[in-house]
Amino acid sequence: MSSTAETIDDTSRDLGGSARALIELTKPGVTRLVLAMAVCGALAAPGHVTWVRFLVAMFGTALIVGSANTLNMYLERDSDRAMARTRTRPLPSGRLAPSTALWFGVGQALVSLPILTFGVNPLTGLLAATALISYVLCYTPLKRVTPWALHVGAIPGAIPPLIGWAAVTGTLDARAWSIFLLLFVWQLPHFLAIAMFRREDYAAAGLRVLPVVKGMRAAKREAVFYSVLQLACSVLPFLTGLGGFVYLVSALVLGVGFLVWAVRGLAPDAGTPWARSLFIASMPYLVLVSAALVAGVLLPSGGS
Amino acid sequence: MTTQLIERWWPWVLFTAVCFAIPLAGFLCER
Repeated sequence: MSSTAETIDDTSRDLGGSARALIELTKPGVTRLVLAMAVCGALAAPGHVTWVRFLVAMFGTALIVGSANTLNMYLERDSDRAMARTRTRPLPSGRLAPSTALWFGVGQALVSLPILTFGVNPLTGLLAATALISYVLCYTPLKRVTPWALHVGAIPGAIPPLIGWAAVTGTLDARAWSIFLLLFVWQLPHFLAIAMFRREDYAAAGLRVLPVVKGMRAAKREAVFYSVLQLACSVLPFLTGLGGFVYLVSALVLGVGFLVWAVRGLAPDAGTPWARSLFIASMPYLVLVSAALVAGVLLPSGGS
Repeated sequence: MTTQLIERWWPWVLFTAVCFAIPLAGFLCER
């Protein structure tokens, strides 16, 4: 009797552990950030959407992000074993079998794409499919080949606001693409900063990021270049009629602040601590610029 | 080399085709 109870107890513990490992595969933190950007796109879009359709769009988006992250971890299970930071993930640590992760990732995609296509509209489904495939099958393998993988990976990273926008309007226009461009460019200094302070880890895993391939000096110069580009792109939503002057002033002030921080990195003694601080600074930049954009669209006086 | 590439990647090519076929079917249904 007691051995039966112990078996049941062990089984439920195993199931609980597997469920936690499956959730870990979806990277809930990244999923939350992506959902926040999709919500921004939906809020900035003109027109109205029913609550049901909005929730269906967010559910489908969460599933497609979960699928992309799961399949990314499946494909990178060997290099994850080489990095201290990723060694404890479900696959390299042996908590889940690779085939389980593969079918979980494929399953999430095959559930979410019909939900987005037929529950919201085909454009959101097409955007989600593009984000998933470009992330899993272009960005993920390219990381081991060239530092240009950063730019390829920034495409799926910038699609979530388009999904939110398309869920509301069913179309994409210059205003939607201006948000896409801003988010695309934002990721370049953001991920370069991460690559700079984790360059030893990335080198050990064989990932050909810029600080590993061309060194810190080149990476710092590119971070400054992309910060200038980010400042320029942050004006685009205003030029297309989104946000108004409240947004414009906020974006310029925040963009100049970020650029100054990036330029500080050109000093010879600026190393890992500076790179980490640039990465941290990029987060409030995105939150505040997004908030200014949405506030500029939603508040009656925001457009003047 | 080519055979190895096909053997390794055909499931992913099929997965890609299915992923894009779903929204394309949606566009066709809307017409």
